[in-house]
Amino acid sequence: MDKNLITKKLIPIKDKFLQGLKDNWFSQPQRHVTMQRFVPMAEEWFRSTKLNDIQGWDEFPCVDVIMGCTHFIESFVLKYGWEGMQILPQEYGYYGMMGKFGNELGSLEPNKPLIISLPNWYYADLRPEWPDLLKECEQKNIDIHIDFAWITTARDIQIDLDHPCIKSFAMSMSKYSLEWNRVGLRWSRQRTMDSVAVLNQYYGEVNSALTSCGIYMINNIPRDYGWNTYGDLHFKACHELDLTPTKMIHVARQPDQTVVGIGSLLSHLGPGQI
Amino acid sequence: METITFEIFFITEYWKDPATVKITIDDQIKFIGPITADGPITFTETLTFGLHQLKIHRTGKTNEQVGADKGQHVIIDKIKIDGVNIRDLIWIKSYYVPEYPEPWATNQRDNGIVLEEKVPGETFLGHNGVWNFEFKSPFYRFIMDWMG
Repeated sequence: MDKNLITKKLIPIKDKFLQGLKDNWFSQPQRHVTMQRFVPMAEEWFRSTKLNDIQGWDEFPCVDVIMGCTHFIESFVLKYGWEGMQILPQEYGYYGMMGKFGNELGSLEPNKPLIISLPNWYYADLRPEWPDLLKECEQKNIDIHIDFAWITTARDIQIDLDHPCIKSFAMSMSKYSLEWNRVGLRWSRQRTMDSVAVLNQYYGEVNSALTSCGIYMINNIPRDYGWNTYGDLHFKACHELDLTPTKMIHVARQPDQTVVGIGSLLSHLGPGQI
Repeated sequence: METITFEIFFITEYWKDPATVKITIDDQIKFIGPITADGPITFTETLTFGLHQLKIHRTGKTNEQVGADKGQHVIIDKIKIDGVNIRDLIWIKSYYVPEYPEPWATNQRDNGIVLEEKVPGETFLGHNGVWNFEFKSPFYRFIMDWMG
């Protein structure tokens, strides 16, 4: 095990298999896939995880195509403004780059929607304060929007989305070495007028390179590919390198409890390797 | 069905008593009271998909509220429905039905001035009357249909 392949940045799995799919996609003729055909297939793919227990999907019948979870965030921010929304500490670095910082649990602002990433990079899991967060949001009339960007890398995530404060959530395929495409879906209890709704419902079509590639990847990447392929190696690497396994395939915890990336390490060890 | 937040921002001007407004959706009262300060009235409504009527009933204007250079007005400054400022829709789709006071109205007519029964796009509610706006739910679809 090459300890030098441990990274401070949490880099997802990027192996020969995933790289090969990209190469094939660009070298072969492709079919046009409409958004209407893509959505139900993608929804089935995201929901088909056997390693996570996510309940409440059916309460979110409005499903739209997104270009990655950052698109979901940007559409949200475009609607509410940076000052009209809130986040918790230890969030996605994008917010900090834009000058947006977290409010502590217990000090959330009433009536101001919250966007939260789950699983969270810092905990490599749901946030431990999740039940308290739901309570506070209920008391303060705070809508919750969940960024599930890392869910495809996770196992043992148990969450019931059918809570009245949860209004929407999004997932993407980006973490399967698909950052060059980023296709994903947003689920909402009810549609609201925003950038994602305009693209999907007003124009009635999204970038079809996105959906065509999405179908190709869905047909070729098993939903739980990361853990099913690298699960044993994850535990072996952690054991040999004095790390603690986490619920995210590409993340481990050091003795000082900080998280590190083992995606590059696993990609070098795994089937097909880099 | 969908649950939508309405934010109706008023500007109020008075020297004696403020104007009173009653806000209804499909004749169900969502707010009633005097507009004593500038700001929004906010409420949430669960709507069935289909046509709906938002009305603002403005009352409280009597001849004694009017002085030589002073009066009582309430102005609809802005309306946000589901977070969308519907300014352009107000200009095109809303109308105000004023109740013209007497003897002022008769004097105007006697002088050949035609008083409009329905004033399109009016947001300056000087006279008592009812402001009307018809919209559809789901609201995002209503906006998109209007965009054409």
